[in-house]
Order: sequence, then structure tokens, then C-alpha cells
Amino acid sequence: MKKNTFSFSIGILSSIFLLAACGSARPRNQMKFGIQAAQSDLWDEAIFRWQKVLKADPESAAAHNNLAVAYERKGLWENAEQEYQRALRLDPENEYIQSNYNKFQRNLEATEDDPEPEKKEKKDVKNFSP
Amino acid sequence: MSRTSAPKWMILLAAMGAVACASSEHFRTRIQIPHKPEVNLADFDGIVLTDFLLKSEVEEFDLNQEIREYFGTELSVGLGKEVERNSASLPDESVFEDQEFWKNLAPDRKKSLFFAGTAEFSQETRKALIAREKKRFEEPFPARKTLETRKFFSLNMHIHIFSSETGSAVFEREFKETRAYTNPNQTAHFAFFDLAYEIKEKLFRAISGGERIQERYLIIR
Repeated sequence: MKKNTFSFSIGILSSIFLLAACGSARPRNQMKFGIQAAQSDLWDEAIFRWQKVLKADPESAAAHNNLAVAYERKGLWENAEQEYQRALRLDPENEYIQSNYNKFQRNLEATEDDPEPEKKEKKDVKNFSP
Repeated sequence: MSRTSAPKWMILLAAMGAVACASSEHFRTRIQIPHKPEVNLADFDGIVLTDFLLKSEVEEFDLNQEIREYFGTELSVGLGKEVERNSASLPDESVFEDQEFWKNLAPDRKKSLFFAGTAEFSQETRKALIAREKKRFEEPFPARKTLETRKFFSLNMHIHIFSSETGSAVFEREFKETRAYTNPNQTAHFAFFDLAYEIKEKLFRAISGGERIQERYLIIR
């Protein structure tokens, strides 16, 4: 009996510990829900969810990054730029945010198209170049 | 479980918690990202096509006529604008710097775009020693090189687009497409359409935006 009570209390303690360690579960759920919405191409819903995350935690670099991606998807370039910059200010070392922001900037500055996959004709042009 | 093992459990849980919370969870996703259009087409009602300045004449067909017909139709259908032809001939390349020229070219058309530029179409036959690509389970000897011939066609178009209202350039880009054909009897006329299609695709992506699939990271924490 004593043994069972002890195991039960350990279980409860561990749950509390993990919840406390990872912060509130609610913003995390909103974040995940936003990602699911984005993956289903429901970007307005995703924006709504990530804005809710930011209301609860304005310092969430992840939420700012995700919002930036959503704004980029919707063609709202100024908003995307602002959100990327906020995300990078909060987490400058984050390689995922850096990667997203670099691609975003390349798109804005692009004057030429991305290199196309090498077609047979293009390969021929290379092989036969004088 | 004994009472003495409790601290070990706590340490293990603390370590698990720390690892779980410290690592960044992310999703790599491929999404269609719209491209910022370089020309705000909504500001203009129509497009006026002028003759292109040709760097050299093409024997097989009238390059200017083909450019006018091909791009006239494509601009009308692809951009949904009324396309008209202006027969004024351009003196030389300095005209692309002359705002007054474009402003006065069609004074009655205030909200139009002038589509102009230079064009060059060339062809040549090249020969090279090409090693046949080896397939799996083929003979172990090195691949033999054979002398092969390709017919090459190039289309170089330097496109300038001007606003009829201000005479200023709203877009300017050089496009060069080259294609090699194994058929030694490939006609220049046929190759022109392949190359013009490639240029048209790139031009439309640049001026009207369009979308392209790109990778982005969505982060959970």
C-alpha cells in the first residue's frame, strides 16, 4: 500500500515537473494547432493561432517566425519582414529563423530565377560549349 | 521501488525535462510563396508593342514579326491586357534612355505600357566527343567517346517596358536562352518558339509575380 502511494506521488510529481519545465501547455497547443492549420493551407487560421500565442507570450521567437512565414505566404511582405526581424532579435542564433529570413530576402532581391534543375538540353549546352 | 531510489528518478526526470524543453522542435514545410511583381500591372490599361531593334537579320523568318505576334498574343492572354501595335521604328539603342520619346510616342494612351527592346537570334552547329553514360551491370571497360553533333539556337532579348504617362522605364531585363537539338535538320522557326516560350515564362514570372514552391521552417518552440 505504502509502495503504491509512493509510486503514485512520484507520477504526479513528474507530471507537474514536466509541465512546469515546458511552460504553459496552452500556447504550445495553439502553436501546434497553427502549424496543423498551415499544413492544411488554412493560413488565416494559423495566423489567428500564432497571434494568440503572442498575446500570451510576446517574447516567443517561434511564433514571430511562424507569423512571418504566414505573411510571406499571403504576399504581405512588409509584415513578414517585421516579424522575421522580431524573431531574430529574440533568438538571433536560431538557424531555422535565419534560413527562413535569408530565403525571404533572396526572394525580395531576386532579379533572376532560381537555378532550374538541369535538363538534358542544358546539359548538352554545357558539353558542347566551345 | 525503494525510497532511496526516489532521488535517482527525480534526477532522470529533470534530465528528460531539460532535454525535451531545450531542443527546438520544428517542421520543414514546402509552401507556395508568391513572388513580388516587378510591375504593378493594375495601374495600366493596355500594352503597346513596338518593333524590336534587331542586332542581326534572320534568313529563315522575319524575327520582328514573330516577336510581335508571339508576345502580342501571350501578353494579351497571359496578362489580360489589351495589346496594340505601334509601327514607329526605333532609331537606335539610345532611345531606351530617352523618356521624352516614350512619353510622346502615343500621347492619347495615358495608362499604357510600351513593350520594346533589342533581339538577336543565332544558330550554329557544334561537334564534340561525348562519353556515353554507363549503365549498371554494363561491361566493365571504360565508356567509348563518340563524335556527336548538335544544332544550337540562341535567342537573346533585352526587354524594356516604359510607362506611356511618364516615359520612364518600369522594367528592364536581358533574357538569353540557348537550346541544343540532336536533329541536324531542326528548323530555326521551330526553335524560335521553344526559346521564346522560355523567355516568356521568365518574363511573366518577373513582371506579374506568380508563385513558386519553397521550403520554410515552422517552429513549435
